[in-house]
Amino acid sequence: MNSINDYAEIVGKETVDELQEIASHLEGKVIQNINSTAVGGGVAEILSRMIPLLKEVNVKAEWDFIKGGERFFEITKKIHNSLHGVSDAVITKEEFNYFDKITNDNLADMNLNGDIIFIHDPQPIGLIAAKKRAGFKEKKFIWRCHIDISSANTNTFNFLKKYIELYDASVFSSPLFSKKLKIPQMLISPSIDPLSDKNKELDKKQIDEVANRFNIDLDRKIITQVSRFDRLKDPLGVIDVYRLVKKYTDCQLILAGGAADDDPEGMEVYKEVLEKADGDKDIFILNLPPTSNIEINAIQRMSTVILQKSIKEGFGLTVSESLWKKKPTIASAVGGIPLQITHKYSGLLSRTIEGTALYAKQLLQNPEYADKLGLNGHEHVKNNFLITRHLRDYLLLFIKTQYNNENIIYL
Amino acid sequence: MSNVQAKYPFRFFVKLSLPQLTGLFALNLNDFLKGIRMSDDAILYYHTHHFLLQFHNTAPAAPNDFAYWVTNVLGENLLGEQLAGIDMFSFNSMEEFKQKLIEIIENFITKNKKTRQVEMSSRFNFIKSVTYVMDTKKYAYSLNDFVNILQSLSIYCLYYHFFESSFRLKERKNDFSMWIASEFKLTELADKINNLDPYTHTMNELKNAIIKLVKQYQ
Repeated sequence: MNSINDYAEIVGKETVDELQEIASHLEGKVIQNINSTAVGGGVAEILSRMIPLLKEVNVKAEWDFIKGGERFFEITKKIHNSLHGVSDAVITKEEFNYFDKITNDNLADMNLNGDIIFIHDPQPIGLIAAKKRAGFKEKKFIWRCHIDISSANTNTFNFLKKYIELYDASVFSSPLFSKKLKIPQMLISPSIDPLSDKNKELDKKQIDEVANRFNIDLDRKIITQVSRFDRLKDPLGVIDVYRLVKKYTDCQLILAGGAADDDPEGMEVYKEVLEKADGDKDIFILNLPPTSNIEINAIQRMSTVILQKSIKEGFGLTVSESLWKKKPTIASAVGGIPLQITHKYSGLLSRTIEGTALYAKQLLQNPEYADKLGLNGHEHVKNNFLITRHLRDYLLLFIKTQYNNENIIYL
Repeated sequence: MSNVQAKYPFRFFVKLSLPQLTGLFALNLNDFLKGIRMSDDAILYYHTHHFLLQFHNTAPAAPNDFAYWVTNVLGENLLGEQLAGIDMFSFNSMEEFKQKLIEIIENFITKNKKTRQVEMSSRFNFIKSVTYVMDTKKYAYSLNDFVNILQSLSIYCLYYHFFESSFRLKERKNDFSMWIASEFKLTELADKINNLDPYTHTMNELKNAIIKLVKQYQ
């Protein structure tokens, strides 16, 4: 694990010093993070890096999990899909009751010892009921919503809303992801860790090794999309883009991602992609295990142009990952992507297969323009989407709970 | 001047902020105008300064969110340019700036009855800044100290002493120039710093320009 001082090389010593100064205002406070799992998924990934960094700046940060069981997590998966607006994810009254039952079990079992209790996503949301307990008056509860609830199913949202509005504050990743609520809604974007295996600098030997392993030719141009095999990431559309580009510019295509064994749709999409590639030797369809961080890093670094042609997207942090590597990036203007790319400044935003192909040709044929977009993108990510900015925002959020709803806080 | 000691030291603060949604949004120019009318200083501050924060190493795409949305989302280039051209430093308060915004938009609406309605995903969200003013507990007694400390602090120090100061002091002045003029009688240096336009420099350029100017008088 990295020390906070390791980040000084990237963001400057003054920024690291400032983080420590801000953190000193939380002296003696315990920040208890609660979610549903230690491994798997974006929330666990960010917490696994954020908690040690909070400790590095001397904040007493803890991380606990609720218990659930198979049935509970089936229901919470349905709730998750329903919040995303998936129309067939209808939750029955009986399922809502079971959700409440498990919440009560967790309330009975868990030690809610934090001064600030930071609840992540819907699974543990009901723990707010503890706020009524004797001696809990001074504790502050914050709900962190990591998902886009803008198109949420009304029934599901109303079920959760009765909990949400009991919190002292909520946090969303984008203004577009939120709903009208009676409690303060803070905006904090997610982030990437520049020192993680997925984003750290790699030497040429490491990149060559990955290219050799997959028989990718580094002397020819490469278009890449990194994402799991999911229809919402439009991997078939990416192959159409590649074919339109290839008529004019020689190139290879890498589609790198995972298709989990327990996700039947993922395997189905993976097979459709293989079928559509039709044995083209210049298309590399890489179904990688979830631990392939170095491989993903190397693939992004060996690419000439990176695509994220999603139809629907959460925040879309793979865009920040590629921009951090100074790669010219073309991405759909959906979800949190327009926050990461300012069109024609730090990348290109597209809406169609034809438009994406046109931009890809422009970038492949105009390396100077491509480099400029990549450099601007790198600076934009450095200023806005690194874990150090995320850490600062969380520290400010925790401090805010110690003040009434004041617009100006003097520290 | 490097060894001359000030009677009163310069005390460094940094100004940090965290964005908060207000629930107010606009899909067209009329809603946009209504939203601006309802905006307080914290909202106006966010939308006039967050671009500087986001692009502090590179040139900002537009000097404020209002101009950016009108130009790039509504597609009203003429109005966008008018809003982008407002000189923030010519106002002593956010309220004055707000009245100028309202005047320009009202004029435009009077002459252009038909304006676009955008989709929910392209709406203008009115966001406010929750501001944190943090005492760094660092004091400069000389120009040498001043340069060394300024170099060691983040760009958020400029937000307090250079941007916020003109609204706090109710005139186009900044804390650095005030201190240099009063403690060292270096009015020429104070004026040179005062004449730097922070809205046309990137944050790092501005910090480096101030340090370079002060070094010439050390």
